[in-house]
Amino acid sequence: MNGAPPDDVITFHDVGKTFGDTWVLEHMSFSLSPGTILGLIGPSGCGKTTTVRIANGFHRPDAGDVTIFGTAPTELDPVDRTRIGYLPQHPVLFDTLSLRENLNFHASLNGVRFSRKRRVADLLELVDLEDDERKLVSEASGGMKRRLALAGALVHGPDVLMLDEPTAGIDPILRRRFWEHFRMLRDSGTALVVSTQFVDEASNCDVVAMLAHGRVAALGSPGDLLHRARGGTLYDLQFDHVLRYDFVRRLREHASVSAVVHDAEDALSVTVSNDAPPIGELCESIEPGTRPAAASERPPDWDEVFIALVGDDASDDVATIADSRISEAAR
Amino acid sequence: MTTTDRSEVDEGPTTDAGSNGSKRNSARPLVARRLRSIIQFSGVLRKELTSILRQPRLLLILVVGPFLVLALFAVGFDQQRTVLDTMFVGPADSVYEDSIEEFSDELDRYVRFAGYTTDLVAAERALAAGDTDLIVIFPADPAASVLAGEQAEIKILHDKIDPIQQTTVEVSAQVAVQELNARLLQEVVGEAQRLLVPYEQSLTDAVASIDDLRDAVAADDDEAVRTATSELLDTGNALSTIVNVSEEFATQMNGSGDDDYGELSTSTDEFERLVSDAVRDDDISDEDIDAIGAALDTVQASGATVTTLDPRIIVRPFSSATENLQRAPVSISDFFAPGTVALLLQHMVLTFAALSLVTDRSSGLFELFRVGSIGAGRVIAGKVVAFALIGGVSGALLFTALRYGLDVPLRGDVGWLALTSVLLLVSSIGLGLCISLISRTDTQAVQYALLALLAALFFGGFFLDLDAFRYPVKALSWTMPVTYGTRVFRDVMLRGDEPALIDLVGLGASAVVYVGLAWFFLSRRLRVE
Repeated sequence: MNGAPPDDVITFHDVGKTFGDTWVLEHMSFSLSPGTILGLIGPSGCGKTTTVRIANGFHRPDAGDVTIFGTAPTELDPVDRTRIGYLPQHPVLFDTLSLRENLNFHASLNGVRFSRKRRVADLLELVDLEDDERKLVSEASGGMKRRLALAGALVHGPDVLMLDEPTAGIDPILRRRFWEHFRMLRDSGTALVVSTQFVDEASNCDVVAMLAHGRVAALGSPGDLLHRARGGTLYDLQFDHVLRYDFVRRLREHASVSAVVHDAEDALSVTVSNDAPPIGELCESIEPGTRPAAASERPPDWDEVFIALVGDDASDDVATIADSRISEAAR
Repeated sequence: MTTTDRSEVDEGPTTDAGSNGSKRNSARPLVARRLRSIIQFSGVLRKELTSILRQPRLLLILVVGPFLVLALFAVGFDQQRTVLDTMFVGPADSVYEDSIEEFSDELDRYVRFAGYTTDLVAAERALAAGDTDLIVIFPADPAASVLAGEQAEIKILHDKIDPIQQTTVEVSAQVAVQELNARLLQEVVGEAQRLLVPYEQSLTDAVASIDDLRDAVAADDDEAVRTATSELLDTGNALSTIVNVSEEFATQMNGSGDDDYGELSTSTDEFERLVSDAVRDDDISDEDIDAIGAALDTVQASGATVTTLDPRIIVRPFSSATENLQRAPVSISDFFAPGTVALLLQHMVLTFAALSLVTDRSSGLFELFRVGSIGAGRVIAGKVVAFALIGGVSGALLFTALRYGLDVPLRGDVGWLALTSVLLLVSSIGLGLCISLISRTDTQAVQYALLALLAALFFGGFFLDLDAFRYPVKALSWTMPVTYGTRVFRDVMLRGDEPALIDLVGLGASAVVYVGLAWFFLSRRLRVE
């Protein structure tokens, strides 16, 4: 129990795991509340799958404490195990069975009995496979298999969904649909743990754990991580006149401003602290009458965020991320 | 978009994330837990059944294939083909050629007469070309060897490499040569007996000579007396020789002296002595002649059986008469049919089971098993029942096809066949699951299954008798379900007997052990690391 708050579905406290003499996870701590999406983001080998497997009771941690529904995952009784939905990295599907039969099999494994037919039909519709339900898995495309596997993890209506790289190997349109559905599940109260190699998927999560070398390098909401990486909020400002040097100098020296980049004669990029006044007022306070004609917060570049937060140690990891993204694109 | 409702799963677990699972568990109704077990078990069962039934070609091969193999075996196997074609080589115009031709019908029981030749080189060419299986080479001058006190050697040539065929050659050749020896000896003894035939005549002549002697003595004709006594002396010598030969034969046969021959010998000696006395006596009286006549009567009475012995009996005093206590003869294809079914059932379900868990593991299903709520017992139960159903239906079709398609006898109770089939299938599935759990890949599982098949062929009593093996190797036979299955199927189908209790107990025990081991191994595999 470890004194975990009752509303936390999953808690990790200083968790470590070894395979042989190698610690593949160290000092991992986080918690997950119902109705939350936790993103585990990092390159191959950073410990995402091991984290998911410890959370669902597949592995026993070698250090620290883990709870799910207030109990150690390895001690869960069979019924509580049915409250977990798990999508392994490689879909568990059988070529000689049809899509519907595969889904039925997953339902049986979790003891689904009432309204199974309707539930299976709803899920096939949800993942847009209702017209192919009689098709054998051996005849299905890779994307269809991923969708079917996701339906298999959902078929028993779990309270916690653990998805190990669910968006790997699928096209951007389908990926967007997956995330839409994940958010819908979140909104219905389901807690989700989603691992991914795609750093930009962090923006879809409520909480992001950036992993490197088996450790949590950064943990927080996407906004928090973004601000932390940028040292505040980054605005792109467009003025309708040429800026005077004195204005730029005084802006740079303002206590709420951490960085100013003079992009053009009439444009600036400004990073301000979270407690700074609105950017228009800030500019006006420095030089009355000088107010940006347009101000927008710059969209996040998650690769840069990852590098900024994980640091130099992550340089290899970032290269791995880039490699895996190239591989994904090639597929 | 639809979301699912937790209340429809199992016993409707609470949504209180922090509550204690074990407390909830104790409050859940037992019926609901049982129901979940049944759903999970039936899920595994359906998956395995569907996977196999979706491969109609596989099923066709499994059921029709073995039946066709047996049918071809029954149609194509000709036991007469195992009789060896044999060429005989010997001198021209010899006694061998006449004997072989004369007794070729008799020899055909052992070897098929492929010709007699004087050309050994040509015969060896025929052997090398596969035109003949055996060459029997007679000695050129057997009489010289025999007279020199040695056996005349008959040489047999063949080029078989199969140890079983080599044994067949040796046995067939030995039997054929013995038969030939016996035939020749029979001729010789018959000839000798023909020399003994005058014994009867000699007795008649002796009676006449005694009458002549009596007349000569009465007429006081010394010349006639000498002639008559001389004839009587020759007859006495002949009788003595014959009696000695016969007595020796009887002693050899009985292992000790025979009273009848002792009496005959004594009476013959007495007759011979009286005649010798008469020859030496110049004054033969009527009493002397009466004594000779009485001795001859004794010889005649005692010696009648000796001269009537058949030379065939002397040469081959023993013959065999085999009687099978079974109700009806069993053909070779009938004999192998039950074993084939047992072998097929074991191999079929063992292979299914061996591949099953390996496939599950490689597909990642073990990961779901370990994370999910299904236990090893339900997985094992689902697979055992699924494969047993497939095997049971296949077995029933095979038994039916054998009975009505190949007319293989089914003399016992079908119920025993059904019970034994179920035990055989469950035991084989258990063994297959154990194999599956020690295999790392599909290829390994298939190799193990083939090894099991090979072991079943050699040690399962399919074509080699179990008594041919020594312990501890023989113990291997008793670890294989097919051993019990073959024995019971043969007992029930061919003998019409009830199965031996020990076989049923052995099969049941192996089923429990193998399924138990599979459960134990799978539980360990699914244990959290």
